[in-house]
Amino acid sequence: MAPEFLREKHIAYIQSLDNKQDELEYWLSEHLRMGGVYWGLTALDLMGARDALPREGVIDYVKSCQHPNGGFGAHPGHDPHLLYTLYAIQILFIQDALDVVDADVVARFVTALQDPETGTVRGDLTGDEVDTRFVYSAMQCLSILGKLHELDVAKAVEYIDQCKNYDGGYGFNPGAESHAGGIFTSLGALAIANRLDLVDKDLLSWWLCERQLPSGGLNGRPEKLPDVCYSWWVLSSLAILGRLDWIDRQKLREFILDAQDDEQGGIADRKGDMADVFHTLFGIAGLSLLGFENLEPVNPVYCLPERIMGRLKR
Amino acid sequence: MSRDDYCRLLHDVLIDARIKEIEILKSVPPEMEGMIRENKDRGGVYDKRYYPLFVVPNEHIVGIPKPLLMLAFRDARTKFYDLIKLPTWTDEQALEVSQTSLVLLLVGSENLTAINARKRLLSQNSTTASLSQEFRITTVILCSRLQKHSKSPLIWNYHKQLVSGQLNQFTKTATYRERTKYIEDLSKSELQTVLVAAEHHPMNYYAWAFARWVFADVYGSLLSSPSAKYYSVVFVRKYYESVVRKIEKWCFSHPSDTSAWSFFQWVLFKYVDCAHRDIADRIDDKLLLNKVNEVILFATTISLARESVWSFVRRVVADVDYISDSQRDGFVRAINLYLRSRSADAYGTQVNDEDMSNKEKAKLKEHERILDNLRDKDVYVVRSCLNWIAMRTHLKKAAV
Repeated sequence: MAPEFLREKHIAYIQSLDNKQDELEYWLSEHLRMGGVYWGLTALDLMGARDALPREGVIDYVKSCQHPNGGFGAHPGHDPHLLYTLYAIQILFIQDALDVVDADVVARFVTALQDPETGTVRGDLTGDEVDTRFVYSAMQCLSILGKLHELDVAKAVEYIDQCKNYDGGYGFNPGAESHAGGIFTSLGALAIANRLDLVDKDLLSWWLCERQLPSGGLNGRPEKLPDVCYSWWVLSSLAILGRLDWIDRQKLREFILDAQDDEQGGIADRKGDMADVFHTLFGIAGLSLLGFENLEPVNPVYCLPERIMGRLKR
Repeated sequence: MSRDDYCRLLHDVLIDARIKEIEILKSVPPEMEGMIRENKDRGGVYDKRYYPLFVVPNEHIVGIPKPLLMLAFRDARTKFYDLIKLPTWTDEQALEVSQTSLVLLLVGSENLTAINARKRLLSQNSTTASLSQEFRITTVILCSRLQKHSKSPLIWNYHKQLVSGQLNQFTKTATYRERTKYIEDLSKSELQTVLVAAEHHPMNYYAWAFARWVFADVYGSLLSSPSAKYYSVVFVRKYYESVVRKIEKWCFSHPSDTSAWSFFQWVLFKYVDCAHRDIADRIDDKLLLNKVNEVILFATTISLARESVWSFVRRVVADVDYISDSQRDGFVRAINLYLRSRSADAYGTQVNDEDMSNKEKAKLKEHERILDNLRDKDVYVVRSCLNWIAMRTHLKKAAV
């Protein structure tokens, strides 16, 4: 018998995160704040409680993180980066407030990060860190803004294809180890580009369903511990490939519900550990994909409520 | 001591060339407090120069009490985010940026703004920062027992930029021979950094990804440069072979480290590629077959039920470009034999010795139960491996 889904507690937990501004802990994660807002807001939306966070407050916060070059930082005063730019756009998309930003300026920031020769995408202009996470972030961001055509999608797809391994999985770079996160970002990018034909679906799904352990939880690589966030990255990958039934859904559900903090709310990486907003979102998104707990449907490619996807400019 | 001083202290420790590793201590253990008071005058564990950090002198490790770090952080935070708003920095301000950004980085490994500030110091304030100093700092951080930092993609990538930067700087004025020696030494020392980081943080994805870059791009450049004809292929092959052996040893002592096994497979194939320029000759390379045999022996004798080890076996054995059908059949036969011996209850022990106490019997029974579980898991893992090999080779052949 699975424990109950503690909806009210999770809502209260997410709301409480912003009230700790006098605590050191709040400032320790300052450089990740934009991510925190996206994780919290999306989790609330999937629970049908988007209004638990003040809409205007959230929009104003996002605007205050934008730089003149169009990119967004994690927090006001923090340097712009593609990841935080994606979170910012996702938040505005959920709030139906994309009109508060100049889409052209943001798109220019994103496309400037792509190397025209190789199709690879950097995270920001100061580094040369290249990673499929960034290809995925660029494609999702531009797709939401209706400007996907401004990226060299064909070249980006070529790069993703180079990251495919012999086991059917994908690493974050060509030749790198297959990793559930790398697989999710690659599949997400390929799905947005409509190139899932490049994937060895059965082979990859075999690797993905090997991630489920006897406890029901999913890990990200062989011999790693099961972790609630992989309930998202492995599950959404299987959903994209149309093979959600290749894992034991009930056991996974139990694993996620066991990881809830029944006092403070929120979900941890596994039972007994401390909850955080990151695992709270991915646990809830995983449960939504599995069709449990009466949650709003989630889009497996974008990790956004399915409800808003109709607004996407194709 | 003021919070200001803590910031300066942490900075000075990190840039001290003698320091090899840092560790953040939850608090000061009570036993140590007594020891510190005792040793204070003898300068033992407690180096006056770095009070109140704990320095283990001969090992060059510094312990930083977490409460101290938090105090430094409170102060560093406000200073740092004010300073980065300025377009340029005086020498004094640059030093403050260096101090505060390091504290921020120690507290938050993915602090992009802190790393960017350090990059700015390198390009704008060369009296405060230098490539070699930054390289040393990142090496210390990556080799320390800091859970988040030793696996941080941001820090590994910054470290990679510094390695590239130093290499470019050196190459400008170096002869071919000097450059070759530099690259060889660099590859060795960077592999060492990877192994230390991998030891501290198992399945260290970005450490092993960095290792691939070192071999493919840095060391590999020796083969692809215009003067490559002077660089003996035999020499490269010998070097790759030595790395293969070193990594194999590491894998055997860390059998659950899936990233290490993955790198082992990668570097083994790299060896084969460079040992045989002709693609047609690459199949059934002697060293490769030896290694597969050794790993199968390891997996079927010493190590039980390790998914990571069998992942290596299946990955290599199923590769039709590197292993012929007949060799593959041989490996599969050997693994099947092993499976059959496992299922044949060859390890049953009798627990009915009248001289054993009840406690001893219970202990033995429990031991047997654990072993049985492991054996079941082992059978499952090995069977999965064989299934995968069959499926993968069939897929590859069907595609062709």
